[in-house]
Amino acid sequence: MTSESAHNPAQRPPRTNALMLFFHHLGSPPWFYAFAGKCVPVLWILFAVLTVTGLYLGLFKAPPDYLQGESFRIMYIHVPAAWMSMMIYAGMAVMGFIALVWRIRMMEVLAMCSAPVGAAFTLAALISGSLWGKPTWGTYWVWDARLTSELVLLFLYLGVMALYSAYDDQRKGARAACLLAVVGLVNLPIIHYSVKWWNTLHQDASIGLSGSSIHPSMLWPLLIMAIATKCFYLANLLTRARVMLLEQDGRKGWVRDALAGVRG
Amino acid sequence: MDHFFFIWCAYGAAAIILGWTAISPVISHRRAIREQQANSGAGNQHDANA
Repeated sequence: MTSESAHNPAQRPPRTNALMLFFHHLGSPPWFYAFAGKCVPVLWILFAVLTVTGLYLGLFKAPPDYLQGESFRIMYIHVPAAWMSMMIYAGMAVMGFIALVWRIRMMEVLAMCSAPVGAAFTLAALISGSLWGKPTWGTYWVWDARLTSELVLLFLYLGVMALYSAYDDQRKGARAACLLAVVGLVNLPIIHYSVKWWNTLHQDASIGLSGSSIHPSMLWPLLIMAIATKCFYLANLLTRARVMLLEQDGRKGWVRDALAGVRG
Repeated sequence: MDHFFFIWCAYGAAAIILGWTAISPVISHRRAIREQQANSGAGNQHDANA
């Protein structure tokens, strides 16, 4: 670099920090495929360790609830699954928005791979909640605002998956599905505030930004399970994204290079 | 019914749903790798014959 260009801001090389570089790399399918392959085993190990710890503390160490007795232990799968159902949808909608505006293919892939995982968590939350409702409320299901809006969330996930599969051109399908994901975002505040806006059978949130009304011996297993489900989602998302990249880029050179020496 | 029955059912159902969600992409990944390797093998054979 000459002394003139060093003083001229227009000729300086652009500043890049590590985070920007990481996001730049994420847009490259070969780099993403290799990176995800390294992350997935670590995430599965983390998930296994956290799940065993969380379930041991939640199912065997936490004391029974003074009101609900033993049935409150369903909370350790129901609440993390319900949190994940909303968090994954929010993430899917944000990725869908980025994919629609900036046409980043990896964002389309990640958004579309999030939908089945989110649908699975929503279904798990609905079924476990229903099984918690029977001993607590005396019924498996009521059409109250929280339960109904969570069911609508499941239909939104299924709609995104169906719309993506309905097109022969995968990229067109992904864009249509991303649009539906962004529009469906309106359901998230309805789910969250449903227990405040309407008189529902479902209880209000016990954990908020200002603190928690749950005893620490019951709270810690819940937080551990919440982190475990996040590891599950990330490991699953990355594996699904790798499969989608292999299917879409099958004829490209980087796939042959990446699979050289790999046993199927 | 006993509370433990509902606890078992809730965790069992979640294990089946999330277990299948976890296993299905692993199976798909292995199948995709096998297909890619079969295709590239067929391509190489075609190139060699040509």
